[in-house]
Amino acid sequence: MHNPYSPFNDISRIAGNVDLSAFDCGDPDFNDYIMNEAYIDQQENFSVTYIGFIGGKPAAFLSLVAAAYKTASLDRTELGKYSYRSVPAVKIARVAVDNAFKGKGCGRVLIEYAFYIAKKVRQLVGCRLVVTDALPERIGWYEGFGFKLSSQHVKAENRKNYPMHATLLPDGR
Amino acid sequence: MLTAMARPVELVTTLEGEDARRFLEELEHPKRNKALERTIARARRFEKAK
Repeated sequence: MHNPYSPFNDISRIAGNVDLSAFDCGDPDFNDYIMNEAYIDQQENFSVTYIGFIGGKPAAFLSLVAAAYKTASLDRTELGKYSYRSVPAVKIARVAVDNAFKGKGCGRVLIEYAFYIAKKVRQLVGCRLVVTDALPERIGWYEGFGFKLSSQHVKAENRKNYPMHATLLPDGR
Repeated sequence: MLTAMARPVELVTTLEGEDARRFLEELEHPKRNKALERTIARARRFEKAK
């Protein structure tokens, strides 16, 4: 699928025949994940990884998983009109851009793609949130997409990751 | 308070106390979020590109 506003020629699910050996986003853990784990996770139905291609080369990737936010410690009367203790979500598990393709808007477009997928998921099984665990230096970047920190306390906790969420409105709004 | 997770990716985030109440309030009565509106509008480009 080609979006004329996207730097990618194509975005597609990771396949076994994609050569990712040269992918380098600068983070060894993410490099290892895309080269050695992402396709297996997808085959095992734990996640789906989308690769953005530029000129036939894998330029960036996005891994999504089904997830949930739970509201613990509230009694039933506090749950409001939504009497569910869990809210279904699509989670941005990992997103990374190859160093050679940074500065082209690859990351931005993959986040937008995550919302496109979340809207499709919503039509199939229900989904109310897009969520992620943001690295500290990425909080502002995610806020630019409309994500909010899920806890007002976490910033004081010096965490490695900061849960953030964006709420999809009902009825396609 | 919030119990959440680092890598490896966890699938469930648990919100407690005031965080949970704030989250549910936002779910029930969402405020306008222009950045999110812009993101969703851009996501629609993929629908049109199909």
